[in-house]
Amino acid sequence: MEERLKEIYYLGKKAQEGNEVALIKLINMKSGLIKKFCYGNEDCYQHIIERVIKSIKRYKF
Amino acid sequence: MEKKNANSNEEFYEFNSFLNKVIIFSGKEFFRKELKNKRRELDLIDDDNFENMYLNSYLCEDFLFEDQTSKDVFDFINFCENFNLHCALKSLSAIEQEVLFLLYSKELSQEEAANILNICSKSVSRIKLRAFDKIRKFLKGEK
Repeated sequence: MEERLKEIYYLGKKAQEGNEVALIKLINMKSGLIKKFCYGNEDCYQHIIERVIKSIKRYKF
Repeated sequence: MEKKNANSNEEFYEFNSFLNKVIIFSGKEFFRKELKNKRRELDLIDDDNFENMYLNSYLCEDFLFEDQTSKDVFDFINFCENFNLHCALKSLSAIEQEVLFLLYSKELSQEEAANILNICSKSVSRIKLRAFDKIRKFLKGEK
């Protein structure tokens, strides 16, 4: 569990620096939760991803 | 050293929970916004001006139907055999016409009609009763 959290943290850091692969990996790691909260709505799925990307860019590591 | 590790673990946990919160709240925000937009659309339909515009567009020959449902509602009203009933149906608001069409022409249940119109089934029941009341008053007035 700790390893997973660590991985997510460093992927987030890399994504903020502009690494797109890290961003995609991070979104894939969180896709389960995203799918759970979009209730099968594709627009909602895209909206959540957009918000996640924006918030990663703003996060103070 | 141990303190540093504890801090890092906290940071990892913080970032992860931050992402989780973003996902949960943006999902809720999306549906809240969608519901708000739908309510605004329904308010517009209930508005008198919009109602007149909608009815006039039904009466206009060049009216282009936006979808199959509005064409079906148009047929449901215009090809009604009883002329008085036809006039009474025309006097109803757009949402009332649509509810009656779904309930009695398509023979759907109140829940199914509510799902199609994106409103709750109680609202469907209320709109139906209001429409019946209007029709009853209209027909009594005619006689």
